[in-house]
Amino acid sequence: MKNKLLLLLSLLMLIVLGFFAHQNIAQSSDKEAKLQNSRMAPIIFVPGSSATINRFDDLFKELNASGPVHSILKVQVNKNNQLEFHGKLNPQDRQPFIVVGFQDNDDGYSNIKRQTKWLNTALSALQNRYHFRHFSAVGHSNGGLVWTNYLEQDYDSSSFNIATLMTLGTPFNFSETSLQRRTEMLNDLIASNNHLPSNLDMYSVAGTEDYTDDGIVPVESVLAGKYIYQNKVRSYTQITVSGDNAEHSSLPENPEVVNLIQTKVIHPDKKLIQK
Amino acid sequence: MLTYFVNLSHHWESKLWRRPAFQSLVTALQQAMPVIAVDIYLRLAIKLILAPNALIVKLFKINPAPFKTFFAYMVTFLSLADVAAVLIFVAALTYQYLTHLGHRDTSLPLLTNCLAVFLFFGDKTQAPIFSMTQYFVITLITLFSSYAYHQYCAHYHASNPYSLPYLIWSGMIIIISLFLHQIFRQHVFEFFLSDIWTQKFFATALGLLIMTTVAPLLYLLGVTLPPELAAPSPNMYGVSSNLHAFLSTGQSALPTPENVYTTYGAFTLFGGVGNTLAICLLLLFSASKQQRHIARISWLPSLFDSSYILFVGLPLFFNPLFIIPMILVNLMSLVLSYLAIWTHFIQPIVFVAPDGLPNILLPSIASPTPIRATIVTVVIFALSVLIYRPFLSHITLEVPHEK
Repeated sequence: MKNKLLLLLSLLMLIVLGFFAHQNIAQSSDKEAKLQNSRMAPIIFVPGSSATINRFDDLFKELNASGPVHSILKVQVNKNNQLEFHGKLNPQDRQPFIVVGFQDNDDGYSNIKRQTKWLNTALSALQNRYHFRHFSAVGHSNGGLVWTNYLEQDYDSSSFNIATLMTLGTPFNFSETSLQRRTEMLNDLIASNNHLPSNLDMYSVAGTEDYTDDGIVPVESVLAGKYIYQNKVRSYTQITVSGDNAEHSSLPENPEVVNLIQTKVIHPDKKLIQK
Repeated sequence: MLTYFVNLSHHWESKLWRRPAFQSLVTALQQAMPVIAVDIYLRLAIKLILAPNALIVKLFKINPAPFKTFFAYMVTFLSLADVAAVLIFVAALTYQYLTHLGHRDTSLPLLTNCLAVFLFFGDKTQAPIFSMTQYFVITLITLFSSYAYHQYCAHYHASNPYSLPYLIWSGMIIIISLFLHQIFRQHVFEFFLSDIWTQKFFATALGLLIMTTVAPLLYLLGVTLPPELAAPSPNMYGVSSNLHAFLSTGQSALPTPENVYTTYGAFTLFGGVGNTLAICLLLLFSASKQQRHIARISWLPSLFDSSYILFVGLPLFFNPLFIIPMILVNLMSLVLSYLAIWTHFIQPIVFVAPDGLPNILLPSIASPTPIRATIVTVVIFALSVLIYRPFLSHITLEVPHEK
């Protein structure tokens, strides 16, 4: 009698579990199918501290003027995790530009950690809306730190595939001018660099006004990125731009940087063919 | 033919179980059983409810945050339960074996073996990593050490069991375990086993046959099985290409329809390696009260593919009785599932099921042809019961030495 009851209860449990598991699989496979069949691979930009979602407007004008027009969507993540969407993506656009900015855009390591969580929220919402898996990323200044922290802490390779990351004047060691003095953030980023996606192509661009810094960020701090990325991702390239428009806040509009974004982020395959 | 195999298995069992080492092993396993049962039920609670990706949490979309603190406590408690289970088993095995060999004072070898096993699994920078899946290594160290003690005592006679010659023996055993720790900590064997199954060869018929035969042998020997053999793994060759093809093109031909996930993973792991849920079902209706008791305790974990209570309670560990039926069950399951896919009676499973879902549900919910996959599952499970039944007849039909 006890055995029969045990078997009956087990059967009931299996039926209930089977029903809910079937629903779960149906939902996830539906999402997977949309991701699988999506051809969209946006380029997602994150501005630095104190900057708004309009930070890259001039860069987008430059990029859209010299090639096919990319639609632009701007997303602001508010402090309460709510998302504000500005602009619209063209469904036919395979490489739209998306800017993810934060209402709380203060400087500092603790805020970078918070912004990382907000970026994660925004990316999940964007994926649910537009069903993309592949993307590339650009981060200006602290935006590069947010991307790095995201890739180490929250990036899930079963949901996303990031092809290229380009950071512009990103202070991996904050304002330290010596690589011997590592900040807490740099130590943390180095400690977790095993989580970085191994198939990532990473470009770190530094600007120099006077051989030492770009007016705000010391070159050594940008160079500290090698301790995080080198030998952990597929390729790590350090590039230094100088001359006019090489100061920190002008880096996104620097003609060399615009060219780098076009060849390394937007059309990396074309560049290979030209070679 | 089947009668020959049954007689052969019974012969092996009776011959091996007579030896003092194996008699001691069975007694030690039975003595460790209560702690192991607690350990297994704790693991089940974590797998089903407490872990952030637990089955119930995922299926019913429950917020895992309230369980977070409790989960952390349970993980700590689980590691203590692991240590307790291992040390009780080692102490019991040492005591039983040396008592069989005629030793009265077993305190030094008992302490030595516990320390040796603890150091073998320990690490300088981490808490000792214990796993009740490593019975083979634990048993080997304990029996080797105890036998060495027995031989040592034949040459050195001292009234004080803690005199210098015995302490030298103890030191030697501890040094050997530390040396073995350095070799085994590399996990070379586990990585080799884990890597090898993901090769393309194991998606071929021959590769699947080899894998299906080797897995029960490793399991019965108490060797830690790589996760790819212990549970259906979506990391195996062909799984992701099948899923991609299915999601992109719908119900068209898949690139690797017969692979480890769709055959071995989906149809030979009901309740654990070798469809052990079938053994549990047979024991539920055993004439022996003790076996029925073990089966009832083991039923729920077995339903969720953890057969370790049966592994120590029956025991399955090192039990030659189960070698032939387990291989036969695996081969039957493989051949039937392979044929069902090959003849297009069922579409192979392509979806990845939530973690912790009973394997017996996998074909029904992860195949695009769920009704037919359920039929194949029921047929394979029924045949597994029929194969195990004659081999277990002397356990399930007789009640030896039971009040």
